[in-house]
Amino acid sequence: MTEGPPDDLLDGLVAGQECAFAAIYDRHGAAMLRVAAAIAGSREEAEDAVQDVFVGLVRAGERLRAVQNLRAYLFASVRRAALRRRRRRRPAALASHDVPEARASREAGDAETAARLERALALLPQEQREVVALHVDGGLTFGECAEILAISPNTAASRYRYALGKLRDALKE
Amino acid sequence: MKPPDLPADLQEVDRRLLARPRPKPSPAHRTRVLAAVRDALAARRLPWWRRPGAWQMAAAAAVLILWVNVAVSTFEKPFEFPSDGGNGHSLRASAEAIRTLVPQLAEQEALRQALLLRAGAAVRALPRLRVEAGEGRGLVYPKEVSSWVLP
Repeated sequence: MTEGPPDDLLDGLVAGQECAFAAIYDRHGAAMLRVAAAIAGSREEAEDAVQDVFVGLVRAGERLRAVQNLRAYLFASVRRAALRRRRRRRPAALASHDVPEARASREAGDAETAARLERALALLPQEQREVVALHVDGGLTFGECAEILAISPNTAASRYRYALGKLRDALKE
Repeated sequence: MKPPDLPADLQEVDRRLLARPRPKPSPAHRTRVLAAVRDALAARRLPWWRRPGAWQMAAAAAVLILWVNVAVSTFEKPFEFPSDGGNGHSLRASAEAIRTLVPQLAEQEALRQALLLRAGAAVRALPRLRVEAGEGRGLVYPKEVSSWVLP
């Protein structure tokens, strides 16, 4: 992992300073929301998952002192929260795998390709979808993805490659 | 970092993935998350018994402890009343055995004797202690048992 937060930010989280939580949201909130949406398959579930993570940070309290890399911890937490939310959803809701921004784009143009890409992403195996979410939407390296998913960087890269192949085939159909 | 030797068609998919529209956090979401953080921080500062869910947790723990206690005591001392006195013979069988040996005994008397036999079998040997008055006001108990009271 390359990026770590300043120690005072971690200290602020442990001490329960609201400004520290706001700083974390401003720094990582957008990427966390994208990752959560890609995994959970819905903007609403993604927003709830991100909120779960922040409430979890408050509850962790002193345990946060053991965190070596807050960025990795945040994305690992948001992945778990999004998976939990996804499992709770009904299968019918999962099939749509939709976010409002994507819908708007489809209406504007390139609609068919965008729709097919979203459908293909939703049909990817979970392990591949997670790597795509963390790498593309979270902006993490394969090394960082590997650390979060407890796999080797080569495995993370392979899963991404397999996912790209499936998406390519889906776009060709 | 990209996977090495990514062919052009996969690079194109990679580019499309990055270019696709993705959700952006709204100001309302930021406000909502920070409000939830504020609530959680306020709850964290409360004593444990005033935190949300504390009583439910305490009640669940109490029920669990009670269940474990009942389960363990039930396992160790099953709720049963030994009809045979625990020696493998029923009272009536013992009375019949006594009447076979002493046919002239009445049935009631045989049952009484069987009861006495059972009571005797349950008696434990007790130490016979000789307690003596000490020099002061206290009593002196012997360190060794001189004899036993046997049933």
